[in-house]
Amino acid sequence: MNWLAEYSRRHVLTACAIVFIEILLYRQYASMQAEFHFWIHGLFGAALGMGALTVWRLMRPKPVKLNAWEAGFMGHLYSAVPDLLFVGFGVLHMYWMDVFALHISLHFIPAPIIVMLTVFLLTLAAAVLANEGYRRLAAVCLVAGVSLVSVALIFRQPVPQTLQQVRAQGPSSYSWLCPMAGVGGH
Amino acid sequence: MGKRIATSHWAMSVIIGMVITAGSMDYQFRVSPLRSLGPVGLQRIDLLYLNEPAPARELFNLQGQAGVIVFCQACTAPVVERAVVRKVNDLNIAERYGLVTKKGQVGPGYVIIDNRGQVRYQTFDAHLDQHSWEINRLVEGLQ
Repeated sequence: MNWLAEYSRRHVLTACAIVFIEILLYRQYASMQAEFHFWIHGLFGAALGMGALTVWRLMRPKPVKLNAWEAGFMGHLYSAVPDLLFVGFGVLHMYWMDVFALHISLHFIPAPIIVMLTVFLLTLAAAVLANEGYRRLAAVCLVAGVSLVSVALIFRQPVPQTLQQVRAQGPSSYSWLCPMAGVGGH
Repeated sequence: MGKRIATSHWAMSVIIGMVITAGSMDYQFRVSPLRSLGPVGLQRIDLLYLNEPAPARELFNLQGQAGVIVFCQACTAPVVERAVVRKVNDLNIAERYGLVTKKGQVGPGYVIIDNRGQVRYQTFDAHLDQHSWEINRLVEGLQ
Protein backbone atom coordinates (compact mmCIF):
# COMPACT_ATOMS: atom_id res chain seq x y z
CA MET A 1 0.00 0.00 0.00
CA ASN A 2 3.01 2.34 -0.39
CA TRP A 3 1.36 4.02 -3.31
CA LEU A 4 -1.53 5.11 -1.10
CA ALA A 5 0.87 7.00 1.13
CA GLU A 6 1.63 9.36 -1.74
CA TYR A 7 -1.76 10.95 -1.41
CA SER A 8 -2.15 13.97 0.83
CA ARG A 9 -4.56 14.08 3.73
CA ARG A 10 -6.79 16.38 1.68
CA HIS A 11 -7.01 13.81 -1.11
CA VAL A 12 -7.89 11.01 1.29
CA LEU A 13 -10.52 13.15 3.02
CA THR A 14 -12.12 14.27 -0.22
CA ALA A 15 -12.09 10.69 -1.51
CA CYS A 16 -13.91 9.50 1.63
CA ALA A 17 -16.40 12.38 1.40
CA ILE A 18 -17.05 11.62 -2.26
CA VAL A 19 -17.61 7.92 -1.62
CA PHE A 20 -19.98 8.79 1.24
CA ILE A 21 -22.01 11.26 -0.82
CA GLU A 22 -22.10 8.94 -3.83
CA ILE A 23 -23.50 6.17 -1.62
CA LEU A 24 -26.18 8.57 -0.34
CA LEU A 25 -27.03 9.55 -3.90
CA TYR A 26 -27.24 5.92 -4.99
CA ARG A 27 -29.51 5.06 -2.09
CA GLN A 28 -31.80 7.97 -2.96
CA TYR A 29 -32.04 6.87 -6.59
CA ALA A 30 -32.51 3.24 -5.58
CA SER A 31 -35.31 4.14 -3.17
CA MET A 32 -37.20 5.44 -6.22
CA GLN A 33 -36.14 2.45 -8.34
CA ALA A 34 -34.24 4.90 -10.52
CA GLU A 35 -30.73 3.45 -10.51
CA PHE A 36 -30.70 3.87 -14.29
CA HIS A 37 -30.43 7.63 -13.77
CA PHE A 38 -27.70 7.31 -11.20
CA TRP A 39 -25.58 5.45 -13.71
CA ILE A 40 -26.16 7.39 -16.91
CA HIS A 41 -25.94 10.82 -15.30
CA GLY A 42 -23.19 9.74 -12.94
CA LEU A 43 -21.04 8.24 -15.66
CA PHE A 44 -21.50 11.10 -18.10
CA GLY A 45 -21.23 13.79 -15.45
CA ALA A 46 -18.01 12.27 -14.16
CA ALA A 47 -16.71 12.00 -17.72
CA LEU A 48 -17.54 15.66 -18.27
CA GLY A 49 -15.72 16.71 -15.12
CA MET A 50 -12.65 14.63 -15.91
CA GLY A 51 -12.75 15.77 -19.52
CA ALA A 52 -12.73 19.40 -18.45
CA LEU A 53 -9.84 18.70 -16.10
CA THR A 54 -7.93 17.00 -18.90
CA VAL A 55 -8.47 19.88 -21.30
CA TRP A 56 -7.28 22.26 -18.60
CA ARG A 57 -4.16 20.16 -18.02
CA LEU A 58 -3.44 19.90 -21.73
CA MET A 59 -3.78 23.63 -22.26
CA ARG A 60 -1.94 24.82 -19.17
CA PRO A 61 1.40 23.40 -18.13
CA LYS A 62 0.87 24.41 -14.48
CA PRO A 63 -0.14 21.48 -12.29
CA VAL A 64 -3.74 21.44 -11.08
CA LYS A 65 -4.52 20.49 -7.50
CA LEU A 66 -7.78 18.85 -8.47
CA ASN A 67 -7.79 15.06 -8.79
CA ALA A 68 -9.65 13.08 -11.41
CA TRP A 69 -12.17 11.76 -8.87
CA GLU A 70 -12.79 15.25 -7.48
CA ALA A 71 -13.44 16.62 -10.96
CA GLY A 72 -15.60 13.61 -11.76
CA PHE A 73 -17.64 14.08 -8.61
CA MET A 74 -18.29 17.74 -9.42
CA GLY A 75 -19.34 16.71 -12.90
CA HIS A 76 -21.73 14.14 -11.45
CA LEU A 77 -23.35 16.74 -9.21
CA TYR A 78 -23.69 19.12 -12.15
CA SER A 79 -25.36 16.49 -14.32
CA ALA A 80 -27.69 15.48 -11.50
CA VAL A 81 -29.03 19.01 -10.87
CA PRO A 82 -32.43 18.29 -12.52
CA ASP A 83 -32.87 15.16 -10.39
CA LEU A 84 -31.89 17.04 -7.25
CA LEU A 85 -34.39 19.77 -8.16
CA PHE A 86 -37.09 17.13 -8.65
CA VAL A 87 -36.45 15.32 -5.41
CA GLY A 88 -35.79 18.49 -3.39
CA PHE A 89 -38.34 20.90 -4.81
CA GLY A 90 -40.65 18.88 -7.05
CA VAL A 91 -39.43 20.67 -10.18
CA LEU A 92 -40.30 18.55 -13.20
CA HIS A 93 -37.86 17.85 -15.98
CA MET A 94 -37.94 20.13 -19.01
CA TYR A 95 -36.24 20.00 -22.37
CA TRP A 96 -33.96 22.94 -21.60
CA MET A 97 -32.43 20.86 -18.81
CA ASP A 98 -30.17 19.42 -21.48
CA VAL A 99 -27.83 22.23 -20.40
CA PHE A 100 -27.07 20.00 -17.40
CA ALA A 101 -24.83 17.53 -19.18
CA LEU A 102 -27.44 16.50 -21.77
CA HIS A 103 -29.73 15.43 -18.98
CA ILE A 104 -32.74 14.75 -21.24
CA SER A 105 -31.10 13.60 -24.48
CA LEU A 106 -28.92 10.99 -22.79
CA HIS A 107 -32.02 8.88 -22.07
CA PHE A 108 -32.61 8.27 -25.75
CA ILE A 109 -29.20 7.22 -27.00
CA PRO A 110 -28.63 3.55 -27.89
CA ALA A 111 -27.29 1.31 -25.09
CA PRO A 112 -27.00 4.27 -22.70
CA ILE A 113 -25.24 2.55 -19.79
CA ILE A 114 -22.63 0.79 -21.91
CA VAL A 115 -21.93 3.87 -24.03
CA MET A 116 -21.62 6.09 -20.98
CA LEU A 117 -19.36 3.60 -19.22
CA THR A 118 -17.07 3.55 -22.25
CA VAL A 119 -16.99 7.34 -22.34
CA PHE A 120 -16.26 7.40 -18.62
CA LEU A 121 -13.35 4.97 -18.92
CA LEU A 122 -11.92 6.88 -21.88
CA THR A 123 -11.97 10.18 -20.01
CA LEU A 124 -10.59 8.56 -16.87
CA ALA A 125 -7.68 7.27 -18.92
CA ALA A 126 -7.31 10.69 -20.53
CA ALA A 127 -7.17 12.39 -17.13
CA VAL A 128 -4.49 10.04 -15.84
CA LEU A 129 -2.46 10.21 -19.04
CA ALA A 130 -2.62 14.01 -19.05
CA ASN A 131 -1.52 14.08 -15.42
CA GLU A 132 1.48 11.93 -16.24
CA GLY A 133 2.47 14.03 -19.24
CA TYR A 134 1.29 11.73 -22.02
CA ARG A 135 -0.40 14.61 -23.76
CA ARG A 136 -0.92 13.03 -27.15
CA LEU A 137 -2.42 9.81 -25.76
CA ALA A 138 -4.62 11.82 -23.44
CA ALA A 139 -5.88 13.86 -26.36
CA VAL A 140 -6.60 10.68 -28.34
CA CYS A 141 -8.69 9.25 -25.47
CA LEU A 142 -10.53 12.53 -25.07
CA VAL A 143 -11.31 12.79 -28.79
CA ALA A 144 -12.49 9.16 -28.80
CA GLY A 145 -14.86 9.90 -25.91
CA VAL A 146 -16.26 13.04 -27.53
CA SER A 147 -16.69 11.18 -30.83
CA LEU A 148 -18.55 8.35 -29.12
CA VAL A 149 -20.94 10.78 -27.42
CA SER A 150 -21.50 12.59 -30.72
CA VAL A 151 -22.31 9.37 -32.60
CA ALA A 152 -24.63 8.23 -29.81
CA LEU A 153 -26.49 11.55 -29.93
CA ILE A 154 -26.84 11.33 -33.70
CA PHE A 155 -28.52 7.92 -33.31
CA ARG A 156 -30.74 8.80 -30.34
CA GLN A 157 -34.44 8.05 -30.60
CA PRO A 158 -36.83 10.97 -31.01
CA VAL A 159 -38.90 11.95 -27.98
CA PRO A 160 -42.56 11.15 -28.75
CA GLN A 161 -44.79 14.24 -28.81
CA THR A 162 -48.19 12.63 -29.35
CA LEU A 163 -50.08 9.53 -28.27
CA GLN A 164 -49.94 8.36 -31.87
CA GLN A 165 -46.14 8.39 -31.71
CA VAL A 166 -46.26 6.64 -28.34
CA ARG A 167 -48.45 3.91 -29.82
CA ALA A 168 -46.23 3.62 -32.88
CA GLN A 169 -43.18 3.04 -30.69
CA GLY A 170 -44.98 0.23 -28.90
CA PRO A 171 -45.04 -0.86 -25.27
CA SER A 172 -41.44 -2.00 -25.26
CA SER A 173 -39.94 1.40 -26.02
CA TYR A 174 -40.36 3.56 -22.95
CA SER A 175 -41.20 3.47 -19.33
CA TRP A 176 -41.42 7.15 -18.60
CA LEU A 177 -41.68 7.14 -14.89
CA CYS A 178 -41.61 3.71 -13.44
CA PRO A 179 -40.06 0.29 -13.67
CA MET A 180 -41.63 -2.32 -15.86
CA ALA A 181 -41.22 -5.51 -13.88
CA GLY A 182 -43.77 -8.12 -14.77
CA VAL A 183 -45.22 -6.19 -17.70
CA GLY A 184 -45.56 -7.24 -21.33
CA GLY A 185 -42.91 -9.63 -22.49
CA HIS A 186 -41.94 -10.68 -18.96
CA MET B 1 9.43 9.93 -6.58
CA GLY B 2 7.89 10.79 -9.91
CA LYS B 3 7.66 7.11 -10.81
CA ARG B 4 5.92 6.27 -7.50
CA ILE B 5 3.43 9.07 -7.89
CA ALA B 6 2.66 7.87 -11.38
CA THR B 7 2.08 4.39 -10.01
CA SER B 8 -0.26 5.72 -7.35
CA HIS B 9 -2.32 7.61 -9.92
CA TRP B 10 -2.60 4.57 -12.12
CA ALA B 11 -3.47 2.33 -9.20
CA MET B 12 -6.19 4.66 -7.95
CA SER B 13 -7.58 5.12 -11.44
CA VAL B 14 -7.67 1.37 -12.05
CA ILE B 15 -9.51 0.85 -8.76
CA ILE B 16 -12.03 3.60 -9.60
CA GLY B 17 -12.50 2.21 -13.10
CA MET B 18 -13.02 -1.34 -11.83
CA VAL B 19 -15.51 -0.33 -9.14
CA ILE B 20 -17.54 1.83 -11.51
CA THR B 21 -17.46 -0.83 -14.24
CA ALA B 22 -18.57 -3.55 -11.83
CA GLY B 23 -21.39 -1.41 -10.44
CA SER B 24 -22.77 -0.22 -13.75
CA MET B 25 -22.53 -3.65 -15.37
CA ASP B 26 -24.25 -5.22 -12.38
CA TYR B 27 -27.10 -2.81 -13.01
CA GLN B 28 -27.06 -3.36 -16.76
CA PHE B 29 -27.11 -7.15 -16.71
CA ARG B 30 -28.65 -8.11 -13.36
CA VAL B 31 -30.93 -5.33 -12.06
CA SER B 32 -32.09 -3.70 -15.30
CA PRO B 33 -33.60 -6.82 -16.91
CA LEU B 34 -35.82 -7.16 -13.84
CA ARG B 35 -36.99 -3.60 -14.08
CA SER B 36 -37.23 -2.74 -17.72
CA LEU B 37 -39.18 -4.01 -20.65
CA GLY B 38 -37.22 -3.71 -23.85
CA PRO B 39 -33.82 -3.15 -25.25
CA VAL B 40 -33.97 0.58 -24.65
CA GLY B 41 -34.20 0.05 -20.93
CA LEU B 42 -35.66 2.23 -18.27
CA GLN B 43 -36.39 5.66 -19.71
CA ARG B 44 -37.77 7.26 -16.64
CA ILE B 45 -38.14 11.01 -17.03
CA ASP B 46 -40.46 13.19 -15.01
CA LEU B 47 -41.33 15.28 -18.04
CA LEU B 48 -44.82 16.33 -19.19
CA TYR B 49 -44.13 15.35 -22.78
CA LEU B 50 -47.67 15.24 -24.20
CA ASN B 51 -50.20 18.00 -24.82
CA GLU B 52 -53.22 16.94 -26.86
CA PRO B 53 -56.95 16.39 -26.24
CA ALA B 54 -57.39 13.29 -24.10
CA PRO B 55 -59.19 10.49 -25.97
CA ALA B 56 -62.48 9.37 -24.42
CA ARG B 57 -62.12 11.97 -21.67
CA GLU B 58 -65.92 12.30 -21.41
CA LEU B 59 -66.00 8.77 -19.99
CA PHE B 60 -63.79 9.73 -17.06
CA ASN B 61 -66.21 12.31 -15.63
CA LEU B 62 -63.44 14.65 -14.53
CA GLN B 63 -65.72 17.72 -14.43
CA GLY B 64 -63.00 20.22 -15.23
CA GLN B 65 -60.54 18.80 -12.76
CA ALA B 66 -57.16 17.23 -13.38
CA GLY B 67 -57.25 13.44 -13.45
CA VAL B 68 -55.01 10.45 -13.08
CA ILE B 69 -56.46 7.62 -15.12
CA VAL B 70 -55.11 4.29 -13.99
CA PHE B 71 -55.17 1.44 -16.49
CA CYS B 72 -54.89 -2.02 -15.02
CA GLN B 73 -56.70 -5.29 -14.52
CA ALA B 74 -55.94 -5.59 -10.83
CA CYS B 75 -53.89 -2.99 -9.05
CA THR B 76 -53.97 -0.54 -6.17
CA ALA B 77 -54.43 3.04 -7.33
CA PRO B 78 -51.97 5.68 -6.15
CA VAL B 79 -53.00 8.26 -3.60
CA VAL B 80 -53.24 11.60 -5.42
CA GLU B 81 -54.15 14.81 -3.64
CA ARG B 82 -54.94 17.33 -6.35
CA ALA B 83 -56.49 15.19 -9.05
CA VAL B 84 -59.37 12.82 -9.54
CA VAL B 85 -58.28 9.19 -9.80
CA ARG B 86 -60.18 6.83 -12.07
CA LYS B 87 -59.49 3.17 -12.75
CA VAL B 88 -60.10 1.82 -16.22
CA ASN B 89 -59.96 -1.74 -17.48
CA ASP B 90 -61.23 -1.20 -21.00
CA LEU B 91 -58.96 -2.62 -23.70
CA ASN B 92 -60.14 -0.18 -26.39
CA ILE B 93 -59.51 2.91 -24.27
CA ALA B 94 -56.18 1.53 -23.10
CA GLU B 95 -55.27 0.97 -26.74
CA ARG B 96 -55.97 4.61 -27.54
CA TYR B 97 -53.57 5.63 -24.79
CA GLY B 98 -50.91 3.14 -25.85
CA LEU B 99 -51.25 1.23 -22.60
CA VAL B 100 -51.76 -2.29 -23.91
CA THR B 101 -48.85 -4.69 -23.57
CA LYS B 102 -47.60 -7.03 -26.27
CA LYS B 103 -49.66 -9.78 -24.66
CA GLY B 104 -52.82 -7.71 -24.96
CA GLN B 105 -52.98 -6.87 -21.27
CA VAL B 106 -54.35 -3.53 -20.06
CA GLY B 107 -51.52 -1.70 -18.29
CA PRO B 108 -50.60 -1.46 -15.57
CA GLY B 109 -49.99 2.18 -16.26
CA TYR B 110 -51.60 5.57 -16.10
CA VAL B 111 -52.12 8.86 -17.87
CA ILE B 112 -52.36 12.34 -16.41
CA ILE B 113 -54.97 14.71 -17.82
CA ASP B 114 -54.97 18.41 -16.94
CA ASN B 115 -58.05 20.48 -16.12
CA ARG B 116 -58.37 21.54 -19.79
CA GLY B 117 -58.84 17.92 -20.81
CA GLN B 118 -55.37 17.66 -22.35
CA VAL B 119 -53.40 14.46 -21.82
CA ARG B 120 -49.94 15.44 -20.56
CA TYR B 121 -48.32 12.21 -19.51
CA GLN B 122 -48.53 8.48 -20.19
CA THR B 123 -46.53 5.64 -18.80
CA PHE B 124 -46.61 1.99 -17.92
CA ASP B 125 -46.05 1.41 -14.25
CA ALA B 126 -45.94 -1.98 -12.59
CA HIS B 127 -45.88 -0.44 -9.09
CA LEU B 128 -48.41 2.35 -9.23
CA ASP B 129 -49.18 2.32 -5.53
CA GLN B 130 -45.50 2.80 -4.65
CA HIS B 131 -45.13 5.91 -6.81
CA SER B 132 -47.70 8.25 -5.34
CA TRP B 133 -44.98 10.76 -4.48
CA GLU B 134 -43.80 11.07 -8.07
CA ILE B 135 -47.34 11.14 -9.45
CA ASN B 136 -48.28 13.93 -7.05
CA ARG B 137 -45.27 15.95 -8.20
CA LEU B 138 -46.35 15.47 -11.82
CA VAL B 139 -49.89 16.59 -11.01
CA GLU B 140 -48.55 19.67 -9.20
CA GLY B 141 -46.49 20.38 -12.30
CA LEU B 142 -49.67 20.77 -14.33
CA GLN B 143 -50.38 24.11 -12.63
